Amino acid sequence: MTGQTSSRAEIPVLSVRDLEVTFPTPDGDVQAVRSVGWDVYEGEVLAIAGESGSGKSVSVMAAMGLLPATAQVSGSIAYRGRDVLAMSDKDLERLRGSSISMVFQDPMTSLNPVMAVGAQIAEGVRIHQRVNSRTARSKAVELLDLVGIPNPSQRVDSYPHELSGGMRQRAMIAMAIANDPDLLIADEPTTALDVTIQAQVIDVLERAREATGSALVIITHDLGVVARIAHRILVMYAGRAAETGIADGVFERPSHPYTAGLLGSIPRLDAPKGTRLMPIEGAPPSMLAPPPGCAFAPRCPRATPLCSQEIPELRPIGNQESACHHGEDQYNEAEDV
Amino acid sequence: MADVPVGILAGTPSQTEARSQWQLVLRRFLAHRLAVAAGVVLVAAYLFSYLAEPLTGWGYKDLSPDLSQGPSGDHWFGTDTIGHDMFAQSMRGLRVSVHVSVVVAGIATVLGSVLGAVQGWFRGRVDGALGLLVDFLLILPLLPVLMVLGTRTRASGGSSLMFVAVIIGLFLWAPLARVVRGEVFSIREKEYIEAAEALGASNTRIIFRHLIPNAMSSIIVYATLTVATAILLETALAFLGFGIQPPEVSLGSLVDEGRDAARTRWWLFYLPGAVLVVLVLCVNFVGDGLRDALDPRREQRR
Repeated sequence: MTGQTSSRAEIPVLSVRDLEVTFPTPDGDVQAVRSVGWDVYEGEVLAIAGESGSGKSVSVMAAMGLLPATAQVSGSIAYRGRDVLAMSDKDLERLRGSSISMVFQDPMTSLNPVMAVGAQIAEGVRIHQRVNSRTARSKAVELLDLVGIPNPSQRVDSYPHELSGGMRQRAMIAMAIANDPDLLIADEPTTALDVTIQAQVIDVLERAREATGSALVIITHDLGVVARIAHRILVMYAGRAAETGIADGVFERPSHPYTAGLLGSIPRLDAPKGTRLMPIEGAPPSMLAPPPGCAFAPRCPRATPLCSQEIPELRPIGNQESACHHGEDQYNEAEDV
Repeated sequence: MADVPVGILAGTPSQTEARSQWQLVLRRFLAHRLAVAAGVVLVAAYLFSYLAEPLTGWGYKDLSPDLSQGPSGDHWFGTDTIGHDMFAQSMRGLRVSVHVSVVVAGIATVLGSVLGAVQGWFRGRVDGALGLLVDFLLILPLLPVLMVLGTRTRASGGSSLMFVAVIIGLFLWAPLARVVRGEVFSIREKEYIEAAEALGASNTRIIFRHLIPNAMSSIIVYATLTVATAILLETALAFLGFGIQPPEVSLGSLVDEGRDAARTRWWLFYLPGAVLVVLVLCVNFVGDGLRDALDPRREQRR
């Protein structure tokens, strides 16, 4: 991924290279991630987009060392130059929650139902910082305030079931930033939420990122949700990168038919009146036996015989990088519109 | 790690009275009337057992000249063949039964919860090894084993009460371990466990702060059952002449001794028996209340 946005010469907070993750199952090996690479820099917002099963969650779980023991992982994941995949369990425990932390998809299930939210936030603080429970508690109140929970000094004693979904997700974000992480990973943070709440939660994430100065990786299947805050976008399909580039560029001139399909399937305020939403026909391929050549070929309007024979490599097209044999055509067509 | 800048916070957090989780639990428990009543009876009866001697003037070892008398103002529960005051004996028995069963349930509950959670969390070889031990304990015929141990301790200079309790406790954790293991297998797949891992929580922290608290309702129900089981086991042992030895008494030994007299001198059997039944019932009601109080999911929204 050389289409870097900034001219900063710093090393990335997290650097993923040639990551491959395979899960052995009784039916054969599921190739969840097939060679993916990305970097995320300090203060940057990277959105990883794709359908269910495209390997986006698996690739960040690998970065936190949270994959099940049966997963076979190759490639490299470096946190500030340190290889995460080679870390001991103790080092991983130190890394998680303090340097890299995570906001999960479903706030209904990712908070411990028998612990007050404040106690859970305070727990995160006390795992990584030597503070007494009183300090941790007041820290929890501060964090709840920061993420916009009204009446934080009372809410700190609320149990998860006493909070709404949006409030819970805010509490999750408070937990994630409790130790001022370098990297915040949000795995579909808005998917389980009401549409009216989604924008608020995205705003809170952005505010949390600003407050901590961390990098933010948002995993999503809905490009519309992250359009406002993403600096860079990585579109994944069937365990591979389909397209990557500066967010604005990708939104305006997608250079991969799949990205174009994703964008065409969400409503946009800036679309001309009367534009119809275009669904992507078909379903993602089975990762037990991904098709030879481009995995998107069976669903792609631009597919040619070449596509089902040769796997397209990621290559620069315009300001982006695209893994499509017909990337130029797509890119140029987008300009015409 | 630097703190999150406080500057952007809207005002300083206001001071709130530190309402701990246990205060909430207490409040919910108090809302459960039957459990509170049972708890009051339990505590009152236990404390009252210490007042029996000053009130009636009879100690549990005292022999009165009144033999085989029915309940009266002097002997509230009557007397037995050799002149023991049955009220003093029942109160002593109550105390002993409570002590034994609490120690037994405490040991069994702690061991069962921790080992069961360890099995469920680590799985694999740890689970296999502990599972073998659990299976072994479950198939052991408990009574004969306890009798053999009882004989040995008697030979080595009398069995103290607490020793009996500890031995019973060491044998009663296996069923709970199995229950907790099963619960943990389901809890461990919950997202909040993954979230705790993502927060950098260690195995110990996950087991004690997340897995066991979420299995708490089963654990409490089981602990309550264990108290009842312990009372009955101790009764059986006393009846067979093991465990508690005269002149020490327990409710179990009193009921067993009074059994033959149930038709003629009813007070020897029914009065200690009634105390025993009330005791076990109260323990169960308190267990119910605790389960409701400890599990916030049962609470209605305020």
